[in-house]
This record gives sequence, C-alpha cells and structure tokens, in this order.
Amino acid sequence: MTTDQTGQQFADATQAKGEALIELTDVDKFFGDFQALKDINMNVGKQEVVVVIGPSGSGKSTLIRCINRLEKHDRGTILVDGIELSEDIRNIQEIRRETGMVFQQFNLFPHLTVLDNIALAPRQVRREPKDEAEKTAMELLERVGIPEQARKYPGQLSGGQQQRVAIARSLAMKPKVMLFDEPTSALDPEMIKEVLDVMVELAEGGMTMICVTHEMGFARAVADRVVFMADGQIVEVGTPEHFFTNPQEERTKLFLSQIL
Amino acid sequence: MTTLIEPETTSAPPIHERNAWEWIKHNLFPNWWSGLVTIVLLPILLYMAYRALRFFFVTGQWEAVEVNLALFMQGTFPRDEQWRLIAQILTFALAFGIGAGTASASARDRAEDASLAHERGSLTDTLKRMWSMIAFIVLLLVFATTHDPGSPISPFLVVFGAVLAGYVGYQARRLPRRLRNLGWLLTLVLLVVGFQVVSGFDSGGWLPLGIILGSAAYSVVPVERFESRWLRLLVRLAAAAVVVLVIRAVYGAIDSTGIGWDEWSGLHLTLLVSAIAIVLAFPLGLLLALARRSTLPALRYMSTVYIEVIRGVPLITLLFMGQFIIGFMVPAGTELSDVTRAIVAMTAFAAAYIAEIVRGGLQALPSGQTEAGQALGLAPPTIMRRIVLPQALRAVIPAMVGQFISLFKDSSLLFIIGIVEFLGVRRIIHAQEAFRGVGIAETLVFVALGYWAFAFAMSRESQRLERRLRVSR
Ligand SMILES: Nc1ncnc2c1ncn2[C@@H]1O[C@H](COP(=O)(O)OP(=O)(O)OP(=O)(O)O)[C@@H](O)[C@H]1O
Ligand SMILES: [Mg+2]
Repeated sequence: MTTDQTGQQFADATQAKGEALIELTDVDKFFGDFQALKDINMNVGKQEVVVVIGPSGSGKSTLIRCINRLEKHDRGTILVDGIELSEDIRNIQEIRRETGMVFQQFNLFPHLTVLDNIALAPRQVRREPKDEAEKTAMELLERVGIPEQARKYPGQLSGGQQQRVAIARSLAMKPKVMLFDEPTSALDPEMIKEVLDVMVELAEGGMTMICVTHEMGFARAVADRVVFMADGQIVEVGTPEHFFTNPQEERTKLFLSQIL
Repeated sequence: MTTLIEPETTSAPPIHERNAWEWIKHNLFPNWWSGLVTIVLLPILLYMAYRALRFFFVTGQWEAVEVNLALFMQGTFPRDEQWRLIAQILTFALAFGIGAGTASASARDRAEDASLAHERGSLTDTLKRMWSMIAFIVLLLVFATTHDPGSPISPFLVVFGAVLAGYVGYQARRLPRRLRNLGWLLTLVLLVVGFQVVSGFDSGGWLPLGIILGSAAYSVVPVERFESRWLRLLVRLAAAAVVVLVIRAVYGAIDSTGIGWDEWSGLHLTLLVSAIAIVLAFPLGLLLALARRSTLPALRYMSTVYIEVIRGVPLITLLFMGQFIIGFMVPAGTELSDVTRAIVAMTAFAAAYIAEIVRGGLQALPSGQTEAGQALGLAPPTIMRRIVLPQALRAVIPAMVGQFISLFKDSSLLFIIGIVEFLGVRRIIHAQEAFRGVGIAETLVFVALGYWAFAFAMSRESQRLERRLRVSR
C-alpha cells in the first residue's frame, strides 16, 4: 500500500475537529540512510487527545520528538500554535515552552529534590521568584496526588510517583500541548493506574495531548482519535470505536490482534 | 511540607560475639590452602614488622629529623618572621572550621528535608577520616619535645590554638539557615587573609579578595524582576565591579610588608603550592572539557590540541619550560618568581588531566537528562550549569581527587628546579656537617610519612564526599 492511498483514504480523519494547534505537513525524517518518518501529515486540534500506536521501531517516538525538536525533521513543515519550527534557537525555545514532554524513563533530575525538579524551569526560564515557583510546584504536586514527597529526591520515590512528578514538572511551564512517550511502559503493573488516572484527569481538563501508549483502556476512555503507525508511516487514523470494532487495514488488524 | 526523620524502630540484630580463637580460625585458616598461605606469610610479615619497629624505635637515627624539624616545616623561611606562619595556621584552622561547620549543617538540613537518615558528623567520624594527619602532627610534637630548638613559641601551643580556632569556627553550624552562605564567604575571605598574613597585605593582594566578594555581590543582587537578561547581567556586573574597586581602594591604603613567595619553603610551601595549583586547575580543566565538547570547531580544536600536547609531556619538562618560556609570554618588565612559574606549570599540567576526567563524566551522563532540560525550554547554558555539570562532577569525584593527590605528590619535583619544598629540605639537611651521610633513610621515611598523611586524608575525605552525595541520586 502506498502512502498516497492511505493519505487519501483517511484524508478526513487526519484533520483535526476544531482549530489546529499542531500541524505536520509532509514530514520526513532520516537517520543516516534510514527513513524513520515518511510523509507524515497530521493535525491535532485544541483540546484534542490523540493516541499513537504501532509496532516497535515504527517511528512513534521519532514523530513526537520532532514536534519539540528533540529530533530535527529533514523535510516538510511542523507548526505548533502557528509557530513554524525552524533552525532559529529562539523559535525552538518558544515551541518547547509551549509543549510539555513526558518520557518513558521519567528523566527526572536525580540531584534535585522533587520540588526543585518542578520549580527549576519556571525559575530559570520565566524568572519566577523562588517562593512563587515553589508554591505553584506544590499545587501541581497536589494535583498529581503526592504533595508529601516534595522534599524528597527522585531516587526515593516509586516509579509511578516519579512519573507523576515528571508530569507535574512539564505542567509547571503551563504548556499548551503535552507529549507523552510511552509514559507507563517502564512501570510495574500496579503503578500504571495512578499515572493513567493523572493523564485522564488532564485530558478531561481540556489539555491537548499526543500520547504514544499501548494502554487501550486509556485510548478508549479519552482519545478523540487513534493513529496507527508502521514503518515510519501513518497507516490508519480513526476514532477509538473505529479502531476497536472495525479496523480497515490488514496491518492494523494484525497489530491489534497482537496487543489486545 | 517537611517530614522529620523517622525514629529508628528496628532493633539491631543480635551480634554474635566472636572470641579470638574463632576470629583466627575464620580469617586466617578458613580452608587448607588459605591456611598454608597464612603459615608461609605470617612469619615473613612478623619479621618485617619487627625490623620496621626496630628501625623506628631502636636503630633509627632520628636526630637528623628532630634537629631540623623547623627546617622541614618552614624551610628557609626567615625565623624572626615565624609569627606570620603561626598566624596563618590559626586563620586557616578557623576558616576550615567555619567551612566544615556550615557544610555539615547544610547537609543535615537537606537530609532532614528529604527525610533521609542523616549521617551525623560525629567527632569519631572526623578522627577516622583525619587520623593520618593527626598521627603526623603527634609525631611532629614528639620530635619537637625530644629536641628543643629553643623556639619562642611552643609547638604545643600552636596545635592547641589551631584546634581551638577550628572548634570555634565549627560553631558556625549554629548559624540560622539564611546566614550559611555568609559562613562560606567568611571561609573564603579568611583563606585569602591567612595567605596574606604571610605574603603581606600589599596592593597586589586585592585581586583574589575582590573576586570573592565581587562574585558574592554578583549573586546576591536581587534582579529577578528585570525582564531583560542584559539588564540583569549589567546590574550584577556593576555591583560586582563596585565591590572590587572598593577592595582595591582599601588595599591601596594598606601598606604592609610581607614575605614573598620565593622565601617560602618546606612543608609550608608544598601544601600551599599544591592547594593553589589544585584550586586553579579545577576551573581551568572544567573550561577545557567544555571547550572540547563545544560546537565551535575553533574552540574544540584548541582545547584538544592543548590537552593532547600537555598530556604527552612530563611534568618536569613543563616545570623547566616554565622557568624559561613563561618569561616570553608575559609583558616585559613583569617579574615572576620561580614559585609563581612553578604554579603556572603545575596548573597547566593538571588542568589537562582534569579536563579529560570531566569529559568522561559528561559523556557518562544519560542523554535523557539533557533532553528533559531541552523539553522544558531551558537554555543550553542553564542545562549545562544546573543539570549536566552537577551530576557529571559528582560522578568523577574519585578520579578528580586522585588527580589532586598526584598533583600534591608531584609538587616534590619542584626541588629539581631549585625550589626548596618538603622533599628538597633533605638536601639542605644532608649538606650540614653533622648529617652528611647520616640519617638519610630516616629523613626519607619522615618525608614519605608526611606526604602519606595528607594524601590519605584527602582520599578519605573524597570517600566521604562520595557517600554523602550519593544520597541524593
Ligand atoms: N538516534 C537514532 N539513530 C539511528 N536510528 C534511530 C535513532 N532513533 C531511532 N532510530 C530508528 O528509527 C526507527 C524509529 O524509532 P522510534 O524510536 O521512533 O520507534 P518507536 O516507534 O518509538 O519504537 P518503540 O515502540 O520501540 O519505542 C527505529 O528503527 C530506530 O531504530
Ligand atoms: Mg519509542
């Protein structure tokens, strides 16, 4: 199946419902000779939650890492809230401030307390005074349910708690979009729920989100659209119902039969 | 929200008291071949211990050390200016006391905040870390009593005064939290003052003090509210500059004599030269490491060339070159003392190694740390300063201290270029009529003990630092 056909077939589904906050047009990405993203077209509207699924190595991480320029795309355009990603470092900084990112491995700063992890960016980037930044940080910790851990170091927390701190840390910059890269894959089963709960709450609060995740329960509950990727391409896009009841592509069916 | 340390509820497991026989059986004869090794080695070890003790207490001709104890400590430093050295010892003791006191108090607070069990800085702990130095000082006192050179000030009094000053300084731990930084500042200022007690408060000494107080002013000036980054920088720099200028003016007014570098010698010189070279080499090495990883090719190449050239040259050649070449690089008419040249050479040498150590630490840091910083929108210098460096430097503490220790020991090479440091004192001693060919082994053992005492304490201190910082990983 060629990209053109898929592109046409799902042309309507690739469009966001409302006003687009993120627009990817004809995006290609190469690692040396290897093409990790092929002709990606995708919009994400305000307050929309998009779940990205696909087999390992299909380019899911690469896709969302291109959006905040942790990876540089080679062709096409990426617009975030109307700003086009370019070489200009200021422009990149601006886009990074509008997008929060949560990593599979949490990537908390181990030498800083939980509170300092969260307050660091507001203080350094937005020049918030210390007490103000810490107050906001405490509020965020309450929101993710672990205010009592504020003065501890990340190493003293469970995986689920660490990931919740990581979410709070991203939220501290008041982003317009949150990018999640398999936020629960490194967690023990009993901790997955506490992180998903926070994410569900965030989605219900109207946050725009792109989540790479294989938590289908989460997708069913809050996703507006699900994007299925394989070999660096978007193979199928649709609502969760569409995916779970009536997937069109063979590859999608195969993949879903493996993970469900 | 602060949670306090949880009280220890678990009772210690019952300790099985081992008697001597069990200990011997467990440690010396656990199985037949270990037993065999013990049987072969034990007599050899006992014999060596016997010879060593005999050397120390019976056959050793320690007069060579006893008579020249002052020479070992201060070398050819003018005797009637000795009060300066004593004042320096007391000032440094006070400075270290304050530094240790504020540091331990901060560590305690941080641990309490994180509700970690805090390792209390008890006296026994300190003794365990410092025992080699304490033993050396005791040895000095023993030697000092067996041969009284008629010194006007009793060595006992000096040691007592230093301990007292250190203790008084240590009480800085009782300062309220907000004043702790002041304690640090005071430590630094006292270190400079202690230095200048010997070298003299002439108008040249304003620079280090100006840098310390200026950078303090720089970081203290509250400019958070200014929007413009340049304005913030400008105001801070202006504040720092004002402080520096004030210090300069004050120093200009003071005119006091001192004893110049080139008159310093003995253990005193060894310790100070090493300390200065270490303090200078660290930031220089850091900059070199950062330059080597810079995206600017010119910086990268320059740093790489520097590091590779220096690492390919023995220190002794650098020291010799320092005596001749540095003269061409400074403006004509600038007089550089031999010791200054040696310090420059040692710093240049150590910086290259430190750069490589730091680079190793930078490389070992997982890329996720930088990415997390980038994703938050932090600027690259902020990521470096707040995220990368603190972690990278912690990781390389052992290697770094190892480098410091070897720099300290390498300072003994200075005697080859004619500077009378600790080891070089021996040459003077054995040129004396009374000790020509007498007590050569004894003076050597004494010098070795002196180096070991300090190097070992440094190594112990680094282990503690490592343990303490690992808590927050
Ligand atoms: N830095 C890199 N250098 C070279 N190849 C890379 C790099 N990062 C990713 N790739 C390749 O790009 C492809 C897509 O990787 P990506 O991490 O985006 O996959 P993914 O869909 O997130 O997979 P997973 O589910 O395992 O996380 C893979 O084949 C991977 O090997
Ligand atoms: Mg991935």
